[in-house]
Amino acid sequence: MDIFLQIVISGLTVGAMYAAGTIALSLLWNSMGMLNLANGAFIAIGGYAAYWCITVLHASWIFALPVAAAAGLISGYIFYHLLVRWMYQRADFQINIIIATVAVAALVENGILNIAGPEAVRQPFQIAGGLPIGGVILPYQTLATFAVVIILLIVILWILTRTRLGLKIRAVSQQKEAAQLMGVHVSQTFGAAMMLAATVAAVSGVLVTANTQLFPGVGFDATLKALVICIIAGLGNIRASILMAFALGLFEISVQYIFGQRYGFPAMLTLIILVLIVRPAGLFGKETVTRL
Amino acid sequence: MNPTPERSDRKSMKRDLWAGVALLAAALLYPLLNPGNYVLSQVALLFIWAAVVTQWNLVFGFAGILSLGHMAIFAIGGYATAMVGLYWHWSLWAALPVGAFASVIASILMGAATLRLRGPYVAIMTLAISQVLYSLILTDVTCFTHRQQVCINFSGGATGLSRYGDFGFNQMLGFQYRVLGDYYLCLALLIVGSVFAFLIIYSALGATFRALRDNRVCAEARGVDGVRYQLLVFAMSGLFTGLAGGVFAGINHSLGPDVLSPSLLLFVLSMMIVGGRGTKWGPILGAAALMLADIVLRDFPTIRVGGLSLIIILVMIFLPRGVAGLVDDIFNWLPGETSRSMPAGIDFRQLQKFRTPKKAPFRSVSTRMS
Repeated sequence: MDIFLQIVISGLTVGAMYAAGTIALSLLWNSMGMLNLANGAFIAIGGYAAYWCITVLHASWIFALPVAAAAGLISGYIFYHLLVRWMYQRADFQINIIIATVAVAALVENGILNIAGPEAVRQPFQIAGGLPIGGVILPYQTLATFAVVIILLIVILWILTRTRLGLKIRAVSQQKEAAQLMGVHVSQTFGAAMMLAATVAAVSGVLVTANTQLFPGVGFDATLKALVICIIAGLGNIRASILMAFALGLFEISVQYIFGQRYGFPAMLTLIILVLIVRPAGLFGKETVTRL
Repeated sequence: MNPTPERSDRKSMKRDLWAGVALLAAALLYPLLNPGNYVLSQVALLFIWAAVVTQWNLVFGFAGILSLGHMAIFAIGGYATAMVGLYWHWSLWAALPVGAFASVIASILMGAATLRLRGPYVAIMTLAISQVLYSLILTDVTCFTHRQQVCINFSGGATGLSRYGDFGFNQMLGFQYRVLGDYYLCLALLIVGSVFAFLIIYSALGATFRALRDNRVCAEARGVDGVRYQLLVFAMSGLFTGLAGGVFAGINHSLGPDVLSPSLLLFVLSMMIVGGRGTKWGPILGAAALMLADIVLRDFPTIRVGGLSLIIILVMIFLPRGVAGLVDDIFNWLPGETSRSMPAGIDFRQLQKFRTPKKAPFRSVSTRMS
């Protein structure tokens, strides 16, 4: 029983971490049809911003998340205006942006490597201790991650459905040309969506790096797993991807417990390949019909 | 005024043939300049990457399937060759076909796994497959055999495989000229692979792949079997990729999981992007450009990866069709002619004659009729 509980709790911990990573990806796919492989770069930027804020500036931990969010906002702005803006109007945007964001991820990783050094450090934004439940301990960190994921989700859904910016983002994502004819500034809207996604990614980066360690390439694995989760849930479906993050986290931890540490990710991937063979648009995704 | 498609096709075929012959002559005669062993080995490496990118371009550029798992196929070819040499003690020449066969099988499996997926789904799936392979090899710690009390993992683990023999150029040509053997072997690989790719591109098969890329629904409506041709293009590109992997393992004398690392993937991917995705000469031009850039950047190891990614980003923004597109524009440029890649402005005066005539006054109609 203890072992079962332990697996459930570790699975939820990992799932919360994955869920934090998927929100920004789904948001960008929803608004721009853009698969952002540079999400890992924003995760690393957020993690390092929080680290820098606490250890170098000796600021209180209260400031860690706001500083990470600000860093994400700024880097999202720069990213959009230096790169995405020049590409989204061209043909094959969906394909080209994947390659370009892989390059951006490598560029940022290289930059952090040169500035901060290659050593893995401990993320100081951490809550020690845990809640004992029937012989096992539920770490407070997991609870905090849960809370932040839910808050982020509510904020994003609120912005998308209740504000003027959200209305613009949804209009542009449905029909770019029609939205433009109605007087929506398409480029600005995309920029805002990009900044929003980068902010979310940076905040989730603080949570992700609190569970692992902080090193320049920290975002790559997290992004790859988050992408795979988004894909199995159906790209762009924010709520389904969070659900799938927890389900797959539990699955991964159980496989790791039964077959050994190294088979966790491969087993997850095999499951996903099997699911995609049956349902090519993911479990909760809609099959899109392209007009010719 | 415009040449018919058939004539322009034949013209470009002729141009490709002459360019190929010129490049081939240059490559064959290059060692006569005595550039030194280091440069020769680097050029040999360039040939291998060019061969890999040429095959990748078949899937990625011509068939339009966004596979990022091509380095996994390359690695499987290399690993299969090295393992056959290591565990069965075969000569590497005999092991090469085994590696190529393994690659073809792996490539078909990858094509089958992504069969029903589209666009970005394919990219993530193939990237994840290659990352899984990478992490499985890195974490392989169980002993498979022992050599002088040293534990050897089945896949070589993080240290990689070594001492599986080589192509025997040392015995054939002597230590000093060994690198010449490597050079001409890689050149032969590139030539055969490129001829194979060009034959596909110019055949009906290539047209089929392009049709599937440009409009899958229309192509299938015209009777193209999408499933069959997707598996076919994966199998074809797997063949020479596997051979390239085997040759790489042979001339490198050791093979580690580095071949699956994201940084090498980025390096090879940037060759295709810089050269021009879906262009015939793009892979070779891109490989040459990137090897040059890499030799320059090697003196600044801290910014090497950053520099490469910056090159990709700049090329994507300023040269969307790559170096091959640029060369094409330069050759097609005629003084006084507007660029062909830009759609010409519409001259509305030309369209006036199609206008429905307005109701004319009675007299004018009668004059026209008379």
